[in-house]
Amino acid sequence: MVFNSLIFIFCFLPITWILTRIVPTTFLKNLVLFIFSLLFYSWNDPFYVLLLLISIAWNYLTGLELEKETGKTRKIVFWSAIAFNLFILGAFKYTNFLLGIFGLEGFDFALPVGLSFFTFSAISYLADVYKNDVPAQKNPLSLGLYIAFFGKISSGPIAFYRDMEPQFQNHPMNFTLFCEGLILFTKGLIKKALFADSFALVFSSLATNTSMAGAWLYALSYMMQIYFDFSGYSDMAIGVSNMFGFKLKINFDHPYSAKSIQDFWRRWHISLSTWFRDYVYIPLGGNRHDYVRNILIVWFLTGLWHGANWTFILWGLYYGGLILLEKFVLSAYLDKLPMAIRRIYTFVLVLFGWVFFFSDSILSAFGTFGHMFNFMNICDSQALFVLVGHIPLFVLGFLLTGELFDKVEQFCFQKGFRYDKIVYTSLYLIGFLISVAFVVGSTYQSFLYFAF
Amino acid sequence: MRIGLRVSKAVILIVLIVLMAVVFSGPKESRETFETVLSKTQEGLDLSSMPGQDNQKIREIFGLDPESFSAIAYFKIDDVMQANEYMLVQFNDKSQSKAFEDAVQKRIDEQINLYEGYAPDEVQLLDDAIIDVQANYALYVVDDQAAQIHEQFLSSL
Repeated sequence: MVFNSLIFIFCFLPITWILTRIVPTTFLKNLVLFIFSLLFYSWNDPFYVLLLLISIAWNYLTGLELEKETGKTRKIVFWSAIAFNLFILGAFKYTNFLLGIFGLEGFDFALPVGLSFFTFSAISYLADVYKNDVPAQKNPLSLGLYIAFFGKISSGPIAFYRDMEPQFQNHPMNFTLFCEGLILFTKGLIKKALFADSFALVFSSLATNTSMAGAWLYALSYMMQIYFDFSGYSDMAIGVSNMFGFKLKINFDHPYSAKSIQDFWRRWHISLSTWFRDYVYIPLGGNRHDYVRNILIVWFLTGLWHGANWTFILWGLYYGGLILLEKFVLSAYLDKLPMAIRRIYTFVLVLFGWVFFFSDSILSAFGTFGHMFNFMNICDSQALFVLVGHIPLFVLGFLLTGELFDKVEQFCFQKGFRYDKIVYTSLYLIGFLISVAFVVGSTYQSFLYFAF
Repeated sequence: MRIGLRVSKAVILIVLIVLMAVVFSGPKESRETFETVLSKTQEGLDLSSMPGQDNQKIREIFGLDPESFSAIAYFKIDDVMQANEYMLVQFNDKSQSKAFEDAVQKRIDEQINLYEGYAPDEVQLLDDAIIDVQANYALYVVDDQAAQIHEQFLSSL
């Protein structure tokens, strides 16, 4: 099931919310949420719910074991449990990729939805318990809900156990948090249904265009699509969590306004960057020793996490290389540049990164780069037609990726204009209705990050 | 307690192995190119009465988006009084097979409704239609040579 489907918006979400609201205790609320999370996960492919239950059971038992064991045995228990989680991830996500490298036939199975996300959540739990940051969870329901909660299982954000743990005992579903959740959910739905899906149509219409303008528009439309798609999903996920009394940290903070590549990764998919920082980069030694090696390992893994394809690995290493370049060469120069130039520098490099990301193969990525610098064919009628037909979409898209919208919103509230709440609510209601109309009109598409 | 935990984890491990055995024992993806599978499927058969159709026809008749698949080819007899047709598709990922099967089944049902009552031979052909999904490839065929086409399709993968 996806957030931008009518069945979720008008049946699943309200029914789950009402039931959770009706039951009197936190235990029962968690039980309702866990059962509905399993239903949500099994909606399209009931078979893989078994895999999810295996993951929950294994990590629950390992947590208890970690509390009982000491010394070398504890270490063995921890690392064998990590290996178990990575084995599941590797077997389902990377087997066909590895077989393909050796020219062997791949297996026929669908990738379990959210596998990378719930595996990383599970590893976060084990690592936090192993480091004695939190006690092992004695209640299997709480751990089950942490791993399987429908608000975040499909595409994150990757919630950290240490942040979620106190909330299992108490997540009051108060009105203010509910309203904040509702607004965030609507904002996410608007991003997805109105913007991401519209940019997706531009992207697909330019797939075969070989002109320079067409190739730039092609890459730009993907850049916009993936931002509105994934940040929209994250907004909806955090919004849904808020409605049920949970608080998740933000996952996006205007990444296309970043002033360096390092800054970009502090703003894009924040939960993933934080996960790699806390559970890979720092344990490897961080910047204390072997900095270059640590950075390259982290970015190789970041690329690989996104998918079993050389293009993702290259995309990850591209960022690793850029971060090293900034650290050792460019930082001194970048600091002296005007903010606008730094933003353009980051924007263009991120745009090039997306070309690796969306391409089927490295060859195809370089083909797109070739078209982007094809001075023999600057523009053709198709590119011009698409550009003229979508100027408002691109302009609005650029404005919304920046901080302008939030600043206007904050300004209006701080000034306390008359009727501001009515205007604000009405605007979101209109946005919600238009988004639902788009969903009904079957122009909606699945979320890009479901594939990861 | 410790032994209990270890035994429980061993049981979970066994359940995982069984689950993976089920998942990984399905048909394997073919690495043959679409052109090879198509030509081997057609090899030695007289299918000239069913010329290839363009993507627009696939959209019109099946409601499928041909661009979304890795490759697709559709052949159909020109005579509206006959139901003969076949289609070969290569999926980008397995999740596409459900949409393909649903669209083809809908097409068969519509055709049966159309021919029922006045063309029993065509209805019989449609009743014997073959829809076969084999990992990343699928075949749909309505023809009196359906069994042979299907056999060649399987051996081409």
